[in-house]
Amino acid sequence: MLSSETKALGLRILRNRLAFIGVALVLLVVAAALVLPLVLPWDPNGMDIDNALGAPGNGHWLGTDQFGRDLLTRLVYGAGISLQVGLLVTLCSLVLGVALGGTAGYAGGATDASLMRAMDALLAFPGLLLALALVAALGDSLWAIVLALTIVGIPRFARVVRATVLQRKEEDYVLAARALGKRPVKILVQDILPNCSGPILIQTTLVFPGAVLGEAALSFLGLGLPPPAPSWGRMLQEATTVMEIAPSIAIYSGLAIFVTVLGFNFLGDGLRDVFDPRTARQN
Amino acid sequence: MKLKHLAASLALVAAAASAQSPGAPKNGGTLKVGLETSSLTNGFDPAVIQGDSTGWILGQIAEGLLNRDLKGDFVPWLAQSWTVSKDKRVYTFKLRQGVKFHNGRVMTAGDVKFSLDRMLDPKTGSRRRGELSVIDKIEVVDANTVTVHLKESFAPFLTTLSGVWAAIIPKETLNPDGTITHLIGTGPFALTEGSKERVTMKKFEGYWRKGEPYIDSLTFLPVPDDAARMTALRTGAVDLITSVPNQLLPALAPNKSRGFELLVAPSAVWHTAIMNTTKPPFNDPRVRQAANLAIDRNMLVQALTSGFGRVDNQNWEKGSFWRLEGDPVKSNPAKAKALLAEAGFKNGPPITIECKPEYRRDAQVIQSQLNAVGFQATIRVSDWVALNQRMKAYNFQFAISAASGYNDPDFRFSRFYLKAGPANYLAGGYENPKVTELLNAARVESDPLKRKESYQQVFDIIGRDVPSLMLFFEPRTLAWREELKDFNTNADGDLSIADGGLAKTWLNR
Repeated sequence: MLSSETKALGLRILRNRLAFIGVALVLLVVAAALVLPLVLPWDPNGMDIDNALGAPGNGHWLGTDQFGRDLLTRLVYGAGISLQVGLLVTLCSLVLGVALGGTAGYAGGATDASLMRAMDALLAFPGLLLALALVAALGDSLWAIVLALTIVGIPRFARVVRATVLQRKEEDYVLAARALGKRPVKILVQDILPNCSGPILIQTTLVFPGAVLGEAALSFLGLGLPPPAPSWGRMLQEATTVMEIAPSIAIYSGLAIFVTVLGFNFLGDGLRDVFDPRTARQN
Repeated sequence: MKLKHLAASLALVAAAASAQSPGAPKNGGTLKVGLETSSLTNGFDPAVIQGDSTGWILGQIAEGLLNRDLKGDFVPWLAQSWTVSKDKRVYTFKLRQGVKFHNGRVMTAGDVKFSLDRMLDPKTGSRRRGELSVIDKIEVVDANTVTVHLKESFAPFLTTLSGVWAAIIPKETLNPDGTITHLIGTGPFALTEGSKERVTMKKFEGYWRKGEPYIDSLTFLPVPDDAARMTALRTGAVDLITSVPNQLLPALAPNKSRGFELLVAPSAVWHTAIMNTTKPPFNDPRVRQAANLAIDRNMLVQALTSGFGRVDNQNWEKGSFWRLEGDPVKSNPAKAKALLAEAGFKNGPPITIECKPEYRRDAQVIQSQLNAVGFQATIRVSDWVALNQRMKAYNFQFAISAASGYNDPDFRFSRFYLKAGPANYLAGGYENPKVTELLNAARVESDPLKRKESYQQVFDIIGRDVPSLMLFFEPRTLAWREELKDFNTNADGDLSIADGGLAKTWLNR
C-alpha cells in the first residue's frame, strides 16, 4: 500500500535518467548476490587444481581462478560480502551519525561545538588510513571491518544532519511544537528528522558505495576478511600477479567493484536531482 | 594442463641455458638487484644476521675462510689450505697472503682469531654460537697460520665456517659498543650506504681475486610485490630479481622471446607446516598424523608452484651421502579421518592456520585439504614479527613457514628437534628423549656411517611423530636482463658463490 506521495516520488526517480540507471545497476548486483548462489552448482571455495586458470567452458561461465575455483561463483558470493558490509556500515553509521548530528544541531552551544569538532577530527583523517589502522589493531573479522568503516562513515551523516536540523529547527511547525511544551527529543525525532529524509537518503547512497570500496581496498591491501572468503578486493589483488596470462580475473573482479559503486553513485546523483528543486531539470 | 612433465623438462633446460655468453667481460656499470622482501636487511653484523636476503647482501662485503662452489664442495677462500689432525680435533688454516680489508689493511691470523672469538662471545648474540661452542680455543701460530682446537670432534665444523655468518672482519669495523653498523670485510664490494630500503656498494679495487669484480657499483632494492618486481625487470628499473611468481612460469619458461634470462632450478627451500605439540589438539600425535595424511603434497606443488617445485621428505638429494631411507608421505584421507575419530574428534577439531602474507596461497590449499578430512580450519594472516613472537611463546596451533640450507644433518635435525635447539619452536616445541639421545650422540661421532645410522633412526621417529610437515620444495627462480652476462648461482640463489655470483658478472652496455 503506497501513499500517493511515495508513488509520485518513485515515478520522479524513475523518470530521472541517472537515477534509473543507478537503480538498474544496483538491482542487478543485488539480484546476482541473492539468486545466482542458488543457481550455480559450484562451491565458492571448492578447488580443482588441475583446472586452474581455466578458460570459460565446462559449466564455468567466466572460467576459473588460480586454484580452479569457479570465477562467477566467487564473484557473486563476493557481491554478498560487499553488500553485507555496505549495508551494515551504512546502517550503523546512519543511526549513530543521525543521533550525533541531530543532537549537535538541535542542542547547539557547547554540545554542538564539541561534537562537531570531534567529527571534524575524524573527517580530517584520511578515511582509508584510519580504517587500515583500526583493522590492523582489531584483527581481520567482518565486525572489525564494519566497525572501522562505520567510524569513517559517521561524520558524513552527522554533518549533513546537523546542517539540516539547524535549518529546520527555526521553522514554524517546530516553534509550534516547542510552544506546546513538547520534549526536545520528541520534537527532534517526530518533527524534525522526518523532514531531513532527503539529505539523509542522498548521504546513504554515498556512504554505501564508500563502504563497498573501503572493504575492497582493505582486502586488496591484505587486511580484509581472512582467506578464502571471495572478497572482490582480494580477488583483484591475487589477480595482479597473473594479469599477463589470465587478465580476465582482474577485469571481472574490477568490473564488479566498478558496477556496484557506479550504480550507487548514479542513484545518489539522481536522488539529489529529484529532491533538490534548485538542481532539478527536465529529463 | 599437463604442466608436470613440461615443468620437469623445462627446469633443466632453463638451468643449462643460463651459463655462458660470448665475449670478454667488460668493466663498469651499476647493477641493480630487486629482492623479494619488504626489508632488505636486519642489520650489518654478519654474526647476528638472519634471512636469505641479508646473507646475499652481506656476502658481497665480507667473506669466510672457505666458500662453496656450484657443486656444493668446499673451496679454499681466505684460507689457502687447511689440515685436520688425526683425532679431528685440531684444524690448522694457512691464510691466503696479501688479502686486504676495505680499509686497506692486510688481513692477518689475528683477524681470524678476533672474528671467531667474537662469534663465541655471548655478548655478540650470534645465532650460530651453539654450533660453534664446540671450539675450545683459537691459536695464532704465525701471521698466516691459525689453529682451531675443538673440545670434541665435530663433523659439521667446516660447514659452520663456510657461511657469511663466519666472515672474517677487522676490529676497525666495530662501533665502540661492539656492534656493527658499517661492515668492512675483504669482499668484492665495499658498503657505501645501507638501510632496510636501499643498500649500495662500490667495487673494491684492492680485491684479492685479480680482475674481479667487473661491475662498478651495486644497488639492492626491496620489491616485495610480484607484479611490481616483474615490471621493474622488464623496464630496466632493476637488472636482476630474485624470485619470479610461480604462476607465471608455465608461460615464461618456454617463451624464448620473453626478453630476459630466467633460471628455474630445484631449490633447497621447503615449505613446512608446524603443529604446536605442546597444546591440544596437536599434542596428540594421531591428530598430527591425520593432518600429515590429509595433505596431498603433489597437489600443493601443482597449485602453488605450477608444477615447478618438487615433493620430497628430506633435503638431501637422491645419490648424496646423507640421503636417508624412506618415501614421501602419500595422502590418505580415509586414514586421516579414522585417526581423527580415534583421537576423539568426530566433528572437528576447529583449528587456526596461521601464516605471514607470503604463504596466504599455501594456507588456502592446505585449509581445503584439512577440511576435507574433517578439520574445521580457518586462516589467520599476520605479519611475521607478530606471528614469530606467538610461535616462540607456543601460542599457536598450526603455522606455515619455510626453511632451507642445512647440508649437515646435525644442523638439519638438532636445531629443530632438540628442546634446547634454537629453532625448536619451528618444530612446535617437540621433545622426544630418544631423539635427544640419538642427536647428541651423532654430533660427537666421527664415523660418518655410524652418524648416518643415528640420523636414520631420528628420521624414522620424526616420521611417526610428525611435529612439523615437509610440504614441498619451491623452485628457485631468478631472472635477469640480457645485458647481464656470465651470471651463475646455485640452488640456494647464493650471490657470493665461489664460481659464480655477482663478482663474476658483467654488464654488456
